[in-house]
Amino acid sequence: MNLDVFSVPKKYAESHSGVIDGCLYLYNPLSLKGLALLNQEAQVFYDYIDNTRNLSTILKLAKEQDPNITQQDVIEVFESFLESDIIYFDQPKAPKDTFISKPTQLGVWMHITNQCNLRCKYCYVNKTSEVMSKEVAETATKNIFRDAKRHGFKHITFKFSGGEALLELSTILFVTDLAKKLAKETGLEVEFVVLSNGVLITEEVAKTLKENGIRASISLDGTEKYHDAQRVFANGSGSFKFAINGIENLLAQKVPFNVSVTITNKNAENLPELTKYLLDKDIPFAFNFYRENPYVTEDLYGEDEKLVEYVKKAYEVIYNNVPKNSLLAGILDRINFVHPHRHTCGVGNSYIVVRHDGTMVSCQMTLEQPIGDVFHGDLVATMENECFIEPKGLTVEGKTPCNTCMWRYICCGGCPLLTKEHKGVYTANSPYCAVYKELIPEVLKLEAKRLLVYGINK
Amino acid sequence: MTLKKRARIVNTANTQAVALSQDQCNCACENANIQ
Repeated sequence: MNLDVFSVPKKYAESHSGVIDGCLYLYNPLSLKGLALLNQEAQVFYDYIDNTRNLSTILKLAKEQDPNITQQDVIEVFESFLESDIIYFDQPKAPKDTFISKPTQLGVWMHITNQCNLRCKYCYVNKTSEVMSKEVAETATKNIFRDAKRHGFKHITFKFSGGEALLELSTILFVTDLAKKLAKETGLEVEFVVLSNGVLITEEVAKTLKENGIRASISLDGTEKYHDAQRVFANGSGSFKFAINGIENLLAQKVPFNVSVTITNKNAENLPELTKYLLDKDIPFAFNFYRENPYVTEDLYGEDEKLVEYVKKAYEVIYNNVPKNSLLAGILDRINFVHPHRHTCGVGNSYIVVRHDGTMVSCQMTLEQPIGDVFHGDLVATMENECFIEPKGLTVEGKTPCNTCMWRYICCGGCPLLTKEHKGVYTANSPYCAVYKELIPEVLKLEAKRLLVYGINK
Repeated sequence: MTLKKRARIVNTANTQAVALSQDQCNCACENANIQ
């Protein structure tokens, strides 16, 4: 866009702002640029905007502060504001301008075994000795590539899960070898992640993951006492020491990984301490709120107030030890600030879940509700047509009161299954809505601090 | 130094140590390609 002195800059109506160390931060939920942080001099220009003044008028005002300022200077400042999506000139950015019209990345959840060496209190898997055979793995992988290509996907992420996926490492390596070969043939990109409790990650296993380009996501729910209260072996003993040993091996072999924390009423109070531990080790992490399922025998929900209190305390720890990488994805359950979107997750659009026996389900939380299988038909079509969400094609704009919430395009109403469980319909807001609303501004403050340390003050 | 030269704005997209897609694998659910 070419700016001239007659251009009139305007502020976005639905924008969140705050001040940190004298700097102004702004977040436009429709931006692809994330949060913006302005130093005090930049704020001088931003404050001139009243949605009627043009750049000529603003230049006159700026000259009162700095007689040497030129027309070109003012234009350049406002170009940088425009680039950060904090202002617009003719028309504001509309939701349709930022949404992906057709997904290009396909997520594939490979549930390769029902077996597990742990019996975590909140697990949604009915443990049996069943595993995915090489035949099922081969058919699934080949047909996924065939149909991904057919439907225009460009990139596939395989996530190996269970049970404990590393109990079936040979199947993981079989799929990764085959998938790499198919990726070359089809021109699609592929990446791999194993979801693990960490217990089986010896030095050898970590080396194997590294050599084969497989990332990891390790569940760690607290420091020793708290982790051991909810992540236990079949005999009831805690798995903390084993999980930490696995993490140390991943660190030593430089395997890219993150830690996934499931927050229940049993470990919430430990979150600040765990956060400090992870920050000290420079390990990326994600906070996930507990979701109930039929296999849980005890009440793991806590009061919203307590959850908010402890998450805020964990955020305080982050604030005082802010990491280099953005915190806008992963530290508030399913909220993702990185890219405006209309669906909370990829269910029904870009997410295939394959069970050990080759049947397909819509989500890993609905393992007992088959929608088809990998042997018959078009897998992407099965995913799209058989998805459980009603009405079909529901977006956040069809949820009440989400459709009028300023956070709708980063929250999207939360996990649809959880909403259905609590509200009886998919068209309502998340039972965690109040928690999300309370914590979203806190996450933005953390990102502002990060931009202060690694951006403005760098 | 002029007001303009001192003015500074940064955003998430241009202040990343690594690309967003690489630093999170956020694996509990599939949300890599939410739309």
